Amino acid sequence: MRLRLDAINPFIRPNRAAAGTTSPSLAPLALLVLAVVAFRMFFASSAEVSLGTTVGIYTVLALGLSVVASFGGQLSLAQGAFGAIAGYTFAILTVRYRWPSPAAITLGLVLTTAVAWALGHFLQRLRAFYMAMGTLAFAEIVTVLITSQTSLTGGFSGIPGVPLWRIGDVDISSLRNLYWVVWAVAALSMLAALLVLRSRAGRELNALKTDPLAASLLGHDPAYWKRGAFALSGVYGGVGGVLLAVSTTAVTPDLYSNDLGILLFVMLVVGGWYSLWGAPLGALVVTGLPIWLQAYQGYADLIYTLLVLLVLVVLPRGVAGLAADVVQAARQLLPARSNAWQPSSAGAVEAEPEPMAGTTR
Amino acid sequence: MSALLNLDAVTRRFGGVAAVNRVSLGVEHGELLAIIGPNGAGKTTLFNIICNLTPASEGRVLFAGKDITGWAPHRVVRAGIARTFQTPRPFTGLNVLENVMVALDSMSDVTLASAVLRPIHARRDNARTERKAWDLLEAANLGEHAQRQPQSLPLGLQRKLEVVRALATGPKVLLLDEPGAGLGGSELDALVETIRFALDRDVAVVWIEHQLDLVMRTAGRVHVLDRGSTICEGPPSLVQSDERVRVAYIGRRALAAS
Repeated sequence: MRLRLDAINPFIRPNRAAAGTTSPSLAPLALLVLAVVAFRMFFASSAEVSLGTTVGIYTVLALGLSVVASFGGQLSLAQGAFGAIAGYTFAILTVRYRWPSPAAITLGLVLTTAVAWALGHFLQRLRAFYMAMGTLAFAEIVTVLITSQTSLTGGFSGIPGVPLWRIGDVDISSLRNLYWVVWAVAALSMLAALLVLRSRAGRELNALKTDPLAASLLGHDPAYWKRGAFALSGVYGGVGGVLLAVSTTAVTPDLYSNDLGILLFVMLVVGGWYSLWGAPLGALVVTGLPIWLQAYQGYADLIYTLLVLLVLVVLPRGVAGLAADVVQAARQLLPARSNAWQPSSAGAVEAEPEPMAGTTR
Repeated sequence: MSALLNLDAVTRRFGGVAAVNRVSLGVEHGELLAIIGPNGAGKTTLFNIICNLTPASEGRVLFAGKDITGWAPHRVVRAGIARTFQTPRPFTGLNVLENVMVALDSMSDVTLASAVLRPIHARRDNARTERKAWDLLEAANLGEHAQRQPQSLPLGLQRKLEVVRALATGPKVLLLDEPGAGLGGSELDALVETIRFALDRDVAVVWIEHQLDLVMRTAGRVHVLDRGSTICEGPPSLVQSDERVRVAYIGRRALAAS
C-alpha cells in the first residue's frame, strides 16, 4: 500500500484532490505522437509504411467501436457498415458524379452520422446480444444493398479509381504522405474520444452501460445517450471508411465486410477493452501479427489464433492493461516521487480502485 | 388540490387485479409522509406510477400544478421528483463520488458534441460537478468513502448513498422505497438522520416503511394502504388507533408489542 500525503496529514481532506476513475489522462497522447514519428524514422520500406497506415485507419475505426461498445456497453457489429456508407458515398460522388473530394467526404460523414444516430434510435430498446443481432442485421442490409445496386456501386467488383487527392502540388494520398494524414486524423480522433470520456459523457455512458433504469431515475434519458454513442461511432466509422477508400484507391464490398466489424472487436479485446488505448494497441497487434507470421507459412493462421487465445487468457485486460500495470509497477519503484505522479497513468480509464490509505478522521 | 404532489384517483391494473385502486393523496412542501401497509398493498406500485415506470391505468399525477401523468421517467425526475429503490442500485463501474456526480450531471448542459468542441467548458463543468458532489458527500458524512466502490460499502451506507444520489438531482419530493429493510439498531438511527438531512434541505419525503414503531415515532403523516386501496390517513396517533388499520395490519404486530 502506498503512503499518501492525506493519510498522514489530518489537515488535508481525504482524497479530495484525486481525480475520478473515469477521467483518463491526455498525457499518453504525446507518447502516441512520438511512436508515430519514430516508426517512420526506423521503418522506411513501402510495405512497412503501408502497414503503419493501415494500423492508423483501424485505430480510428476501433475507437468508434470502443466508444459505443466498451464504454457505452452496446455490442455493435455495425462499425464496418458505417465505414461502407461513408466510403461508398465518397467513391460514388467523386467517381460517378465528379464531386470534389472535400464535399464528397463531408456528405459521406454527415450521412453516416445520421444513419448511425437513427440506428441507435430504432435499436434503443435492445440490449447485449439482441443489440449485436440487430446491428449485424443492419450491416447485412448495407452489404446486400451494396452488392445488389450494381449500377451505382459496381456490385462485387466495387468502384475502382477513387481519385487521388491533391492540395496544390502535393499528392496527399501518396503512400508516404497518407501515413501522416492518417495518423494526424487518428491522433485527433484519439484526442476527441479522450475529451468525451473526460467530460460528464464518460460517466453517463458508464451509467447507461451498468443500469439504464437507475440512470433514467437520476434524470438521464438513456435513449439520448444511446443515440449519441451510436452517432459518435458513426463519425469514427465514416472517417475510417473514407481513409480505407483513399488508401486502397478503390471501394469493394470485401473492404467493409462483416469480418471487419468482428475484426475490430478482436482488436479491442486484444488491445484492452476498458481503455481507449486498446484501440491503437489492438490495431497494431492484429494488423502486424499476420505479417510477422508470414515466415511460418502454412501455420500462420494457427499460430495467430493461438496467440490471440493466449492474450485472452493471460492478459484479460489486453495489452493496454499490461502497459498500465508496467507503469504502476515502475511508479512503485520510485516511492519518493509517487505522490507527485498521481494523476497520470498510461492507459487507464479502467477502474482499478486505489487502495484506500487508512484515512480516518 | 393545492399540495405539491397530488395523486388523483390513480389506478393500476395487472390483468384483472387492481394493484393500486383509486388512490388519492397529496404531499405538502417539506413534509414527511410515510406509506405503510402489508406486503402486496401496492406501495411500490404507487411509486412506480408516480415515476411512470408502470403507467397508471386511470387517474392523474399532478406535480407543482402540472399534469405529469405519462411523462418519461427522466422528465419526472428533472421536474423535481427523485426516488430510491428497495435494493440499492449503484453504478458499480463508478466510485461513490462519481455516482453522486452522475446525478448532478442531469443539470449539466455539456453534450457529446460540446465535450469535443468546447473542452475547457466541459472541464470546468466537470470540476464544478465534482466540487458539488464532494460538498454533498461531506455534508452527509460520506466524504471518507468518496473514492470507494459503492458495492464495497455496507448496506446501510449504500442506502444512504442512494438517498444522497437522489438528492443530488435537486428534487422537491423524494420517494424512499423501504430504506429501512434489512437494517437494524444504529443503522435505523442513521436512516432517520439521513431522512432529516433531506427534510432540512426543504425536500418533502415520502417514505415506504415496514418498521412501524419507527414510522410512528418519526413521520408527520401516515397513509395506510391495504390491497391497493387507502384505508386510513392522518397523523400517527390517529392512524395507530384506527380500527381498520388495526385489523389490516397493526393489530397483528407492533401494537401487541407496545
